[in-house]
Amino acid sequence: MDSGDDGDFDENQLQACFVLHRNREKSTGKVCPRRKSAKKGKNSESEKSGDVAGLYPIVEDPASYGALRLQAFKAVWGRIQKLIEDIVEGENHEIFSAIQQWICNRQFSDAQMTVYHTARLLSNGVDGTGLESSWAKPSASCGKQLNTALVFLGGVNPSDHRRTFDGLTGHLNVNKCHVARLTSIDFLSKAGLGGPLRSLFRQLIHIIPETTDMEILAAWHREVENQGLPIAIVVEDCESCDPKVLAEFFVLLSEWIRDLPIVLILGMATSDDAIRKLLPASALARLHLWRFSLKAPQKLLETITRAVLIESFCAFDLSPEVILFLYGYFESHDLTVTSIIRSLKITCAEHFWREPLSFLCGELLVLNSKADLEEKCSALPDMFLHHATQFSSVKGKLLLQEDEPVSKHMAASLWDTRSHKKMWKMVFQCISTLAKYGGISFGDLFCGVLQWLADSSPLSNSDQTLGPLEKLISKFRDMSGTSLRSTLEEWRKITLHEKELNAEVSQILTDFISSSTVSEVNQASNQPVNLRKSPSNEVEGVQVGVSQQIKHGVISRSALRRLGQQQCPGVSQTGLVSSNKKAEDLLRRLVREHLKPADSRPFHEIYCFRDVNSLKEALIGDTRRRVHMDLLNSHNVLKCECCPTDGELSSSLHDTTLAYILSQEYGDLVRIHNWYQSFAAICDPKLQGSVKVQEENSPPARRGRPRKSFDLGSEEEGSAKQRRGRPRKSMDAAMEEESEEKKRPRLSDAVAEENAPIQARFTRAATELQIVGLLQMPKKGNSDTVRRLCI
Amino acid sequence: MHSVGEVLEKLPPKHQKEQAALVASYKASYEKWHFQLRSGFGLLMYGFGSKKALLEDFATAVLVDGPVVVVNGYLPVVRMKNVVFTIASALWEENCAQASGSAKRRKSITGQPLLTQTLEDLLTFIQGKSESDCVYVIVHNIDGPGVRDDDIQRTLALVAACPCVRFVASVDNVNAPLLWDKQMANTQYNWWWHHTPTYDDYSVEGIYLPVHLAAGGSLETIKSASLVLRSLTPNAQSVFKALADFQLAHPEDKGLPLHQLYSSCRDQFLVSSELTLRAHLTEFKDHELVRWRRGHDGQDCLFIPLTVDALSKLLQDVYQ
Repeated sequence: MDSGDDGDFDENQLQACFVLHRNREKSTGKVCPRRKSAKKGKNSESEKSGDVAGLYPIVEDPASYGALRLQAFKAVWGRIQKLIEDIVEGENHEIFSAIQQWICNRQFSDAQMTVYHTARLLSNGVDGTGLESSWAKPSASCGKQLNTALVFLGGVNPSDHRRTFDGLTGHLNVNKCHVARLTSIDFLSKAGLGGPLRSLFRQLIHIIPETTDMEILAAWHREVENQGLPIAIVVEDCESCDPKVLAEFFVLLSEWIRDLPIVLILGMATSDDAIRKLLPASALARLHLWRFSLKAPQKLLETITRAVLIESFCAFDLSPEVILFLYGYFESHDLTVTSIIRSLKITCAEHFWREPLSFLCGELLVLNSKADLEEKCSALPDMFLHHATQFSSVKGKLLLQEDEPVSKHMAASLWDTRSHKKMWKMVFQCISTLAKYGGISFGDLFCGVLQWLADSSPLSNSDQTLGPLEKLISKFRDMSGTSLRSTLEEWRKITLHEKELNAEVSQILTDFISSSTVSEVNQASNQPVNLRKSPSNEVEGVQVGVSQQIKHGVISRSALRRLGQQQCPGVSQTGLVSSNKKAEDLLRRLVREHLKPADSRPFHEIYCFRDVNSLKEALIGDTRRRVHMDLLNSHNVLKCECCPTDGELSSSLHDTTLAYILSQEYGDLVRIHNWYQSFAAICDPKLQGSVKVQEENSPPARRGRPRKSFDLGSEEEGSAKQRRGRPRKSMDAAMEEESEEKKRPRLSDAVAEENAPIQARFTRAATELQIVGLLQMPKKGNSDTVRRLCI
Repeated sequence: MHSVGEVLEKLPPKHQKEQAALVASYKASYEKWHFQLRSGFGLLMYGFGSKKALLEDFATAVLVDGPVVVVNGYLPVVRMKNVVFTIASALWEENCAQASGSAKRRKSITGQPLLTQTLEDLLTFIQGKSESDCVYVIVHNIDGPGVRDDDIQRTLALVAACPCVRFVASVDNVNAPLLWDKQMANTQYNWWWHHTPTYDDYSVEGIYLPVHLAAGGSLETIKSASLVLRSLTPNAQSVFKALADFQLAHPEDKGLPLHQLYSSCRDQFLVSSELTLRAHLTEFKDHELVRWRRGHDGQDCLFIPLTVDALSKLLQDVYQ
């Protein structure tokens, strides 16, 4: 590459680190538009109270609304984040409390043991029976065992573990424990035992003493404010630590447990056996192990999804395609809750940047009445209202042709998102109760529903269009009486706040109960039973009533016989069938009316994020593919007119592109000479001859090597032979060669001058390919081939 | 004989207009990138072409609400303590400037970061700052040779995770994502990937790479050596000068034995222990500035593999 003129590079480019500029906003006294609007945002309380017209600065540039959007993003994301944090805390609270309780119990138990042993030792000493040593020994070995909690974290997900230990540390600190957190970085073999001890002292005593003597820690713990408080030492990723250092550390700590109330908490990502495989028996014998298990990430994801995407209103929504991508990403790519939270944040940030009207989501979150929202919307500058009319969800639709202003439609639509979300949640919960009986997991159900929404297939009774949802709904037909009754009862609870719907569900339930009572009475009085084709398990509903009759002694033996007959396949009851049908119809209607994707409503562009591709791009940096494509399609990216579009090679192509395309012709190893020749031939076909001339005039050491282009096997073989045969050329040898070269008759200057630009271009291209990692330069002693990265 | 750089300079540039248009098209995203930084993400630019000019233009145009610290990861040696110290100092100066108008805040400004403090102390200082005291950190080639080391990446990730730090970086190597585990990439750096090919020459990023395919003349060697030497600490430069002076004074000798070099350097207060000297020598050896060879009396000697003329020119370039 260009070793370049020194003057080409300013001093900053050769400094490892420098300050490009200070805070220019303050130094120049300039206040940018963002700041102005940010200040406005801070006074939002007064704005909310009444002065609606003054809320939005009337400016032509939508970018100046960036501060409002940032503020809205922070409000919305703050709400989602708080929700998630509460869920994670709630999920882990039980385990954290159990660990904290365990620490207290261990401390109490240890204290008791110490008192007990001291008393025995004292009494033995007084008696002078000579048993002192025999008592002391077992107590010492017993006392040297460190109480150790193995916390099974449910997977190798360091990003999730960090969050868990943050919570645990907070919990223990609140409950008066000294906590020190160590990671695998503290247990490196090169640092030895000093690594964890230094980190321990730093976290507990807030100093790094010159010597890592545990006596310092003991002295610190004897101070009044620390006395009696347990010291919890957390090793977050036990399996990643150096086993030798870890074992030494545990042995050292166990030597001090008489002076320091230490407990160990070890984060275990894998299995129960890991600790036994990790530590030698001598170290393991010093640990008294207790086990605690956290919930699996899948469970946590389920809880988070329920809370964030289904049950709560955050004034921000995702299209089914985006949620499906997130789920797929979690299951097949990452499996960490942290990455899901991060992805959610990316969608949120992208949406709030992209959509100029997204700041209304912040308003939607805090406003209490539709009238307030209407007022806010009507105060919007015209350009925003015009922008709203351009949304694909409303453009050309009837609603905008009416006399009412756009702002009113927009406010009404936005306000309705609350009730839509509520209904969506209700219908989904109704389906969930049904899925429970079908043995379908939450994840499968949720993805099934989303897939159906994404496909937007209409519900149909015909067998050909049965989607996952249709199949689920049809389960009503096969449902037993008991299951139907409990499903309806759950529905009644779910729909408690929707009076009409609740009345409908109650009616179906009442009808079902009354019909089953009638049938029981009929059975009891030997009335003929209406036999219809139905699965055997549908008689369960009747069994409840019959069992009650048996209890009261009113049922006859013949009725019991008939009951036995009904349990055979193909026996059913009219009341049950009609109730099943009614419930099925109700659910179908609810699904049709309320289970709609978030991006199907008017003005959804304001609160709904739907761009899966931008999320993918932000989340996954596909460096290999993208750089490869950058090089192969440089003419497309640069949009130049000089390069051929049909894939033909031309000298007008970017040099690195040309060199890269040419290198594709080879296998793993590329012979530089051949590669250069083909490069030169394309750059300037006239020079092809002169390149050969130069080759012939090159020094004998470089001439006469086998040049078998496009033949990988023989090329590799040849290179290997050359590697073995040729001695390593040192720098001083190169210097000698250079001086000898001066003595030799030189190649004609004209030819050299002619080839120089192409050589320089080729050198630059090769170096650039080396920088991007697509080419590995030769090691010393093998300077005629380069290794290519095959993508 | 012309150097590669000289020849390339004379060549008419290809696609100059198109490249400029491509880079200009990213200007429309500047505000968006700033928004993402303020939302708590770190920006990571990838794609073919040098992104140095793009990032610095972005910083100059938009990142004006805080100091901007630039780290050149393409250099062969980057000392993390210096980087962290620069960031801490920038923050401290920023606080002082803010406090100059308010007596109340001035009282709260304590503990100026010092280079004598440990790396942990400096990190604690940065971690203690709130989101409102923001500092922008731009790392060119975060996958570069100077910052590719595990320890450096861990420290950079700790810096990036601080609430007051807004982090922007570029990668060029296609295997760059392998540098980080999930914890670092998703939680600490919190990358927001941006595909920003520029097709700009890697003129600065490539200066430390050996010129394998060009003629290995002394001119190239002097320039490479000069660039490497300039990126070293003053003490390391002085140690090199001590060896070079000896070589120029005794051109017929095979080199200077280690113990003699150590005595010479200790006399000049350049090193306090042999360990420090060996650390410098390792760095020289890594960049092929010095070599070992057997002396006349059979002991190993250090020498600079340059001719007298080349060495004189190098000393002239670097030390004058």
